Amino acid sequence: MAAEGIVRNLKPLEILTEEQVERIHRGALDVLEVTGVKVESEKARKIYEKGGCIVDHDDERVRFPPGLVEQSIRQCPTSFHMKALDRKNDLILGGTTTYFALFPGLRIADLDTWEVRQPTVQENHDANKIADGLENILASPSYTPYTDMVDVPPAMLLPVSTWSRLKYFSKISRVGTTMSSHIFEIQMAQALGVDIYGAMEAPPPLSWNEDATDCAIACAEAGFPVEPGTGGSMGATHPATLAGALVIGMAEVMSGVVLVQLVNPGNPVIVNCFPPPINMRSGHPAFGSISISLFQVAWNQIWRTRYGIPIMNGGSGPSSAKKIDFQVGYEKSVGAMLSAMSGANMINHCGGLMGELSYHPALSVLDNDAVGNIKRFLEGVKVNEDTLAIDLINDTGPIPGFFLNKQHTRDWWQQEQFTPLVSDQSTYPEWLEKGKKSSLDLARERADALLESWESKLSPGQEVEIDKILDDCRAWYKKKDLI
Amino acid sequence: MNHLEELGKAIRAYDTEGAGSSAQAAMEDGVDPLEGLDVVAGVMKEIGDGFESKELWLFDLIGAADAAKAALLVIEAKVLETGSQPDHLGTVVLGTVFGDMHNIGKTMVGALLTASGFRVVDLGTNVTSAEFIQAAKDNNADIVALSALLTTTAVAQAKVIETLEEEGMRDHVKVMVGGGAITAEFAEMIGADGYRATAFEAVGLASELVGE
Ligand code: B12
Repeated sequence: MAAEGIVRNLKPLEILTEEQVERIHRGALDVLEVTGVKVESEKARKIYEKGGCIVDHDDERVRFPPGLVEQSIRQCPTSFHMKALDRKNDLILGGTTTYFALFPGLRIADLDTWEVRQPTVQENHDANKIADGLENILASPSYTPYTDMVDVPPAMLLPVSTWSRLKYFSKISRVGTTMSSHIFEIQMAQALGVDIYGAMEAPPPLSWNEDATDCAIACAEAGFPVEPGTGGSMGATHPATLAGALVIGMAEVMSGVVLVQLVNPGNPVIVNCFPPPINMRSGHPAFGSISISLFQVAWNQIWRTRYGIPIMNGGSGPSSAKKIDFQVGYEKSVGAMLSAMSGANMINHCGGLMGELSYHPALSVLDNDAVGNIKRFLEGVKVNEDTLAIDLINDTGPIPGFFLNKQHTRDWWQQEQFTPLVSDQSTYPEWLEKGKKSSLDLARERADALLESWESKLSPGQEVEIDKILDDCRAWYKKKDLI
Repeated sequence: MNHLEELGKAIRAYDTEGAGSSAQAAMEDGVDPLEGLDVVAGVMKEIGDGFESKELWLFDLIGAADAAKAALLVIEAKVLETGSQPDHLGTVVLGTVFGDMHNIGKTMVGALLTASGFRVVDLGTNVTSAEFIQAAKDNNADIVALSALLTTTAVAQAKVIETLEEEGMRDHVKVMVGGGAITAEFAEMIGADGYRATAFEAVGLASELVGE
């Protein structure tokens, strides 16, 4: 059993020639062989060394024989199953299926002033509950929905976030990591008997910090999937050119894949890279830029055609907009559509605003609808005897022929046509009568209703268990003087 | 063209090597190092102004700051040798705190401070409090500037301030903090001397802190 997801029935969108794919791919292997990556953790360097990499411990540098890189990637499963708390939300990652996930935001956006503030832990729980009810959202990254919460000691933010997700969001979740928080986050998932995937997030260019490799090693040892991902900015920590950003992003992520495969051969992996260009005035990431989509589409094509292992897109979800307005709608939807059309298997997308700095559940409801549209598009055009409807057309003929009264219409309507849940589809008189509601108003109403109807999928015993692991984590940080 | 003119030209062309070598040539020619510092400061101010007025881009600012740094390395060595008194605004030891690898904002702060006439010692990312303290001592710093994008590593900043206190350096070393995760309240809580939200404002704050 697994969640339905989006099954792509179209040829994937491709924007590179085969030769271009080859040049980028070879470029990445070249960079890994000549320059390699900087690996902060000695433990990780030793694993690389034992596996056949050339390691300079003084310089913290690891260089890769191209054969080892290719062999490691070939060892990754082309698809894998992940077990969710609510088994109808299990995922099978890979192939032609796409799932959408949430996208994080540091704080909560106020829908009246559009300023941000720290949410409470309860608001974080509530945002999870709302997302739990959204049919097109099937996973969540770490430090999501919110990263920052009132009255949570800084060191506890990531573990509290995962604890909240595991309690109130019965779908697949990611382990985040700072200061070894992954240790406890993994324990929580194990206590619930669910799968969780590990964030191995690199600080580019060409570097892995200790937390990232520690988290990857621990997840691979536990047999959990790992997401090697790098978050460069084109023009700052990645080259300004798309081809250059692809070469370095490929190299970074490939080096992560190698580590995972050396720790646990055959361990599932999903590859992610999400470099927005930098805003060349403010230095902030220019989320929502169309060049991110060029990057993601090319990324998807290279990984899909060269290796066929599961691919994640983390770059097409965020927008730079501060309000839930026209800009957020087009930036997010254009990006998500292009990512989905080009074969991403998981797209981090829903709820996040202001380039990772804010989130609102009402936006997750709106994004969920946008994903519904994308889903319908990707399912494509079904062509068979019945859908062609040639006999029906001949029988019905010209005016006064009519299709509204036909059984065929009743049979096919729901399968062929997508009806959005919260977009404003009312007639003008209806709209006037119902108080001139915008799609955002409707989304807020749906969010409230979802919150109201949410039900826990945890048994009381399970709840106690993960509460205890959170307490252990708190005690551990206290002992380390980090709280 | 004399060596100082070449130096100015090299910085304007974001030519790190050229800036270093023309500074070297100028010093070898016996040019007063303080004059060299003036040229660097003048050109960097021009670039900083251009960036602020949006004629120039961030890559111009960072490119020029890198070239200036190469020249300053040579010129400052000469200053030390001759014992003359440079009139830069002050020395700032800058870095992203321990546990935090975010690099971009910190680098911008460094470039704008350099452009405004501060001497900047950039320690990079993931800098421990011991490294901050050592660099502050070695460089006789006026300011320690901490960048932090993660709230999770907040303790790392409090620790730098604590260590400065333990070492008896807190009276003469000011601490400014910034970065995505930091707020004015947080800065106050950990006992920093100031916080600003952008790299431009960081320059104003640094000037205030050194009493300019
Ligand atoms: C790019 C990025 C990354 C990249 C960093 C690449 C690099 N080499 O720099 C990567 C992918 C590696 C990364 C990793 C992580 N990140 Co990150 N990242 C970001 C992101 C998207 C942009 C940061 C940035 O560069 N901003 C642009 C610069 C210009 O802004 P700035 O640094 O704030 O600087 C400006 C001012 O603050 C000021 N300033 C800066 N420093 C100073 C210093 C002084 C003294 C003064 C006065 C002013 C000042 O001047 C600058 C210009 O005006 C932000 C979200 C966002 N949109 O901001 C998240 C964000 C910072 N990351 C976050 C997190 C959680 C992480 C991870 C822990 C994720 C994980 N793996 O689990 C890791 C941590 C890794 C580590 N140990 O450091 C969170 C932090 C939340 C929190 N408060 O703790 C954020 C806010 C995202 C979120 N959803 O909440 N990240």
